[in-house]
Amino acid sequence: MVSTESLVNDYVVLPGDADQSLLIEAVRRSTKDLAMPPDYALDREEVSVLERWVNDGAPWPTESVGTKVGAANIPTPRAFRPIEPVAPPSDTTAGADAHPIDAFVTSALDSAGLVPGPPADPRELVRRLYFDLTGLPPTIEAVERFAADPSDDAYAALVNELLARPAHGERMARQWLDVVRYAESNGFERDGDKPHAWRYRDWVVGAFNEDLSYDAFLTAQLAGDEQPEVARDAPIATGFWRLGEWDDEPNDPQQALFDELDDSLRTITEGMLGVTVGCARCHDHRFDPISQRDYFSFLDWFRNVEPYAEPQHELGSPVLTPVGATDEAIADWRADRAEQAERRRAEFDALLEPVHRRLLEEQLAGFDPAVAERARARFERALELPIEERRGYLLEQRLPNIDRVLHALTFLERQRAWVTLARIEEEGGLGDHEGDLRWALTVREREGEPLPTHLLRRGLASSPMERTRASTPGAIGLPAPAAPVDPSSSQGRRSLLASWITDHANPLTPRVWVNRIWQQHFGVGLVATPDDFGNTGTAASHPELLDWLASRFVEDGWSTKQLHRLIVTSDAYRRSSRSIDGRAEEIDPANSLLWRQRPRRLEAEMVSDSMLFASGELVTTLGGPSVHPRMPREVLAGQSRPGRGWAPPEHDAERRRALYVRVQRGLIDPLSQLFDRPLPTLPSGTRSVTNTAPQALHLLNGEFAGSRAYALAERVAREAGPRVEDQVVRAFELALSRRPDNVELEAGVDHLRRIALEVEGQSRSLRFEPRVPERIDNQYFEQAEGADLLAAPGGPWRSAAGQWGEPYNGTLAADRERGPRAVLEGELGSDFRFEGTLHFDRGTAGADLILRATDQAAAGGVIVSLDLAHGRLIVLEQATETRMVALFAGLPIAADSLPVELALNGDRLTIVVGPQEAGPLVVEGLTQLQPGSFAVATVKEGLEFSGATLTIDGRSVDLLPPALSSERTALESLCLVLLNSNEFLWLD
Amino acid sequence: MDDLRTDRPSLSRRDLLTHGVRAAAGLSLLGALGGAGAFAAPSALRTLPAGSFGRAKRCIFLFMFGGPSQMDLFDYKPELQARDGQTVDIERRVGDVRKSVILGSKRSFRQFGETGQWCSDALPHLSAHMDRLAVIKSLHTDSFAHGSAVLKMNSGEIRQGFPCMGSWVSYGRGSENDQLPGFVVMHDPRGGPISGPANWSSGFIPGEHQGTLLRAAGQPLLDLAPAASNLRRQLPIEAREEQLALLRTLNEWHQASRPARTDLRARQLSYELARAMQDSAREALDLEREDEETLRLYGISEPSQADHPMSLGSAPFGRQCLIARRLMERGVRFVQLYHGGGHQQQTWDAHHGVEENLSIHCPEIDRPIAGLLSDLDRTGLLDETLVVWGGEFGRQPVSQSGGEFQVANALGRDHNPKGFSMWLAGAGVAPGSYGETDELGSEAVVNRHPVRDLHATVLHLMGLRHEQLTYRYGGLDRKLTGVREAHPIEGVLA
Repeated sequence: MVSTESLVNDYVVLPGDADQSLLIEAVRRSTKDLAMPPDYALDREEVSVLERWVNDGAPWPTESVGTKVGAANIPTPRAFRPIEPVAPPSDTTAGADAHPIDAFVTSALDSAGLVPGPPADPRELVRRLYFDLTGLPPTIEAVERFAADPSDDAYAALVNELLARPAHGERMARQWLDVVRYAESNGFERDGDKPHAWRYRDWVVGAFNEDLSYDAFLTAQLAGDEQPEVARDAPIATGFWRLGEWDDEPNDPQQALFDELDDSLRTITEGMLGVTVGCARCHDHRFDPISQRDYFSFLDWFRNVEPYAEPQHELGSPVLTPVGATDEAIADWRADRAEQAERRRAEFDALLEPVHRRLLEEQLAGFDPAVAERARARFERALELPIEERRGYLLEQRLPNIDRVLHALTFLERQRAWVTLARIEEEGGLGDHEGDLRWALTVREREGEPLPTHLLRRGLASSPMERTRASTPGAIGLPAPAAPVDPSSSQGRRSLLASWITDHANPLTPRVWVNRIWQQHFGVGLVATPDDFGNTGTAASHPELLDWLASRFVEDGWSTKQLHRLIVTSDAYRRSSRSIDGRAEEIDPANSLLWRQRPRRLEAEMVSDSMLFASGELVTTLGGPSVHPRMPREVLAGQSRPGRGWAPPEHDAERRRALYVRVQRGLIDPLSQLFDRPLPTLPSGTRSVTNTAPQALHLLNGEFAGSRAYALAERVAREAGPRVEDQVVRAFELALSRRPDNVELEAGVDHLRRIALEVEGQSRSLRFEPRVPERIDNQYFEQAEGADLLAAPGGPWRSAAGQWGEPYNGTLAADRERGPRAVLEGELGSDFRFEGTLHFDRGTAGADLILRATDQAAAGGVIVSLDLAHGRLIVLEQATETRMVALFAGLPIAADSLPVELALNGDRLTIVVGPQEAGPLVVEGLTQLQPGSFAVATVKEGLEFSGATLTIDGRSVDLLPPALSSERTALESLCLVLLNSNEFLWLD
Repeated sequence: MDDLRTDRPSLSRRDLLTHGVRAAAGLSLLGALGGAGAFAAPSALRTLPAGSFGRAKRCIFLFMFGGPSQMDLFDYKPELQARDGQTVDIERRVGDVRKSVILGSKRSFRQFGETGQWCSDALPHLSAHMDRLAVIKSLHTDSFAHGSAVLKMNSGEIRQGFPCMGSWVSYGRGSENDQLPGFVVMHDPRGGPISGPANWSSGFIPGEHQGTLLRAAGQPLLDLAPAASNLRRQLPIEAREEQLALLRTLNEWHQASRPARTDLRARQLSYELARAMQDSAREALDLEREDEETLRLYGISEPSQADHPMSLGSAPFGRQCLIARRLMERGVRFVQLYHGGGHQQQTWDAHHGVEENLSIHCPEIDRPIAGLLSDLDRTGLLDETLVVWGGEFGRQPVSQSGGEFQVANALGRDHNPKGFSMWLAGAGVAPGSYGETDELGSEAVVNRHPVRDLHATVLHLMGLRHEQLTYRYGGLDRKLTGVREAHPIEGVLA
């Protein structure tokens, strides 16, 4: 722990200068704030010994650097010591045949003079059990079945049934993914993709479902490449090493390498061992007997792992491997790759080269011929380079680069060029080809003689000191595995490390894991700091129980499912969470002795999964690539390239379990973030539980909750029939897995009646709202359909993407005149009459009403454009070209709302906007006479119509989507309330 | 109530407020938070000017994303002008030393006020306020990449996942207004900063200290208004009230058999707050309540006076600055305004022409910031408000582009983490020029300070001792200023 080094690092002593040393200042007690030791003063002689020592340069015996001294000064945490066999106490009030867990728990309660609380109501218990084991609620039928027979046998059978469900693995995986800070992107500036990371996630789900023994579970992740027999698809498990953040442009590459190793070290030591070894990177651990030497000795086990690199689908890639590929499949993949590269290059060159040459000549126009000639020569050289290197070269040479070429292309050319360029850049070059192989993120050792590991002064890569060799912290009561025999290769080192971590005698691994499972079932672990079993962690509330569980777990063959069974069949687990014992509340308000269960708020994933479960929408597909639920525009807008790393929602995206939502480090969906999912940066074994107003707003007003309420109401109406009483009952059943009591039923029915009355005859508005910020990532755009860019009111309205251009740094912006629009489908004509009031969201820059809209993509028609930013009204005609027909000033700037009347007959358009005393504006001589439809566009922010009517060729056209009945709206309202209730969000 | 704690020791809201008060009083948080450091770092014991500690109740951080060019704004270097066109060796990236051509500033500089501080003609309105500013010219940072450097400036770490300064301040000092978040972030209309939401994250400290994005257009906060597909959008106000009433009733019934559960009560309360927030957020953003003179002061009312087609003019940032003042009045603890969003010339990232970049962005901020300082001063708010201005790093004294094929107005400057300027103004700040870069403005040489010292300074002014404002996570008492020694910058403290 202590060395001169550490004292200097900690600013405690300045060797050679006692007067400037904090230590001396403290023992002299010259400053009031700083007096050491705190309780008594050293005598003058003692102080002068210290002063002399500092003035002599504070020498420290070199052989004492490390654990020896630390061990003397810092207590060894209990969890570092071997797990001693311990028998459940027999003399407790729980009785001799009590469940072993209850024997321990009751014994502690007995000592405190407390009595265990009553068992939970069977309905509460079954709901708790479902969430704990599957992360999903029970149906009311399941609840009632258990309530009818809550016997121990029925309970045990139910436990087995739930453990056998695929949903169990999904629930368990989420917890582990927090621990290993799972993410599918790299973080840092570009936050690039970690391709195929989801296979690791699926491997974890499968491992829990198959009850892969926990020792094999860890071994596969640490060294599955070296021990493929340890688990199914063990190489995929080594994706564990590739989940961390990665800086592709580090300030100090050598230091970044050690940051990456540090990240792995922390995840292993905190995640698997519950020891904060990472704290000893720069100096000896201050609170635990872990020295800086221990840190680097531990690091040496995996010092030679190939660092993360840009993932390329290559056989030699350090981070990607085709798992289980046959020679034949690989040969096919090679052939396809070569063909594809050639094709893409040809396409790209054919498209860009002529434009590129033209730009070059334009740029060189005024230059001296000799200079121009040199530039041309360099340009020709650039064309010889692979495309992926060309851009950088051109940039360096100050020659027109590909971005400028793209500016000069026509719209359609540009689209094609972007697609190709984006593919080249995002997929890592023309040669990159995934094919049909099953690629996974994997670990790999560097070739050749292993790199030596040196102790680094203050953790700085630039300050290597003496060499350290693979070992484990001596304070942990299990000798390190024998050093690797073959010095010429690092192969097998991680296997040795794994064997130490999963050794039956490792005091930490089983304790840490049983504690995590305990926490899952009781909200708080026996050790409340599951990633820190050291001196700074909290002491175990029931140390003997922890040890007993750990031994039992190892005896049971490291079976996690068996551990679940053991815990959830205890009385302690099955107790009521109600606090009805005033004395217990007084003596043990934190309930650390477990006189009752703990109520828990649903975790973020459970909140969204339960909503989908209630509404009947949940898609239970197991595994597969991650999905991208709709990300609100406001959230996308926070990115420098909005939409980067994300995509418009896939078909089932928002109906899958939250486990399958892509984890993009730089873009977390609001529900996960609001409901306290930890960021995937550091290993995280616990989650906060916050209560905030933005949570309330999200569940009340958000799109996700609103859609679930809609679907739930639809389901209730379908299943319960028309009687309101039946509907209220069914809504409770589906949302809360119980029937309402009479008072609740009455309140529900009353709500339905009132809401139905309030919305009856209520005029409806039409809303048009952009779904994306003004600029979006070009890849996002490429995958987007009209409805992903502009939200139309539904019914007869359909969104068209329109045209996007103005590429800037990988983003596109909507064309002002031909951007996304909502088109009224199926109603064509030549003469239009529109009347209605337009309401603009704050900041809306403009709105277009398009008459005779002929072609959704090219957006032909007569456009009445309200330019709110400049207070102008512009009339445009649009066919292949856009032509301005008229411009009127005097529109109010930044208006909140405007009444608008339009009449288009033949070549004459009359317009009344707002109160126009001077009479209508008239435009004559229009040439765009082709019949068409009616369309609406909005710029920047949203737009609503109220009281709108439209006639086309004299026919009155309905603008509103088909109305839901007021009864149905009322039912949806009730459903939304239930999904927001405390009962929905909390487990008893 | 059960204490479902994240990590020991987590603090309840009440604890937080208590700690806030303790911190403000300059008492040790270490004991209270369970930290057991044998010795406090020396910085805790140094005598700092007593008058400056805790003078600021609130803070506005004007973040110039992209990295403004110090030698074209505040860091006047006659030598740079004189040696324009000469070739020097410049380390552009760590270990990457190249022959580069010096690019003199095209700006003319003048000294202003009693402090005689230099400012270029790029900021004619702001230069009238030089006597309010403490310009720190000798900062340096750890990364030349935007994504990492912006995070460094915000959270003290170059990677994401760590609490930002606003979160730390919110955590340390709590909120003065229950109906508005304690840490508010507003973006440039062109987009967010690189590395996005990590820049207003609360990292591992509880989510209530997360920066809340406030929007100048559309709905002010996410979900403040119902989504288009949410039925509440179409419900009359009475019906929405009915919903909240039913929710309250159901929650009360649920609570009745769980009387001790304060967490359930708190959750019900969060709905009441959410409702109140709908009004308070809109009200805070409602600039129609401001008079014409004020709007003019911030450059909001006039049409865009910028020459460059990419420039947005002064109105957008002026609105944000005015909103920031309104948020200060309402007790929001920490407001961070981003100027510049997206990439390259959309930000201060002047690779492709520093003159062009200045002509786009200076007119956007000049009147708004000058207006903000005047307005805070005339309303008395400046006495208790700290204003921080700056970006994630500075720029190079040499031309990045150039070369024989390049047109002159596109001469750009690359990133420079080794020396850059920021300024502080307001509560507890001693105006004047502080620190120096070398003769070209390239590298901080006199009174060099890393970013953590700037963080320590801001916390100090906000009444928080940086070494005591800690949160235990992953076995460490984590701090905004990190594990290395940090000190408030004494030279800028009143």
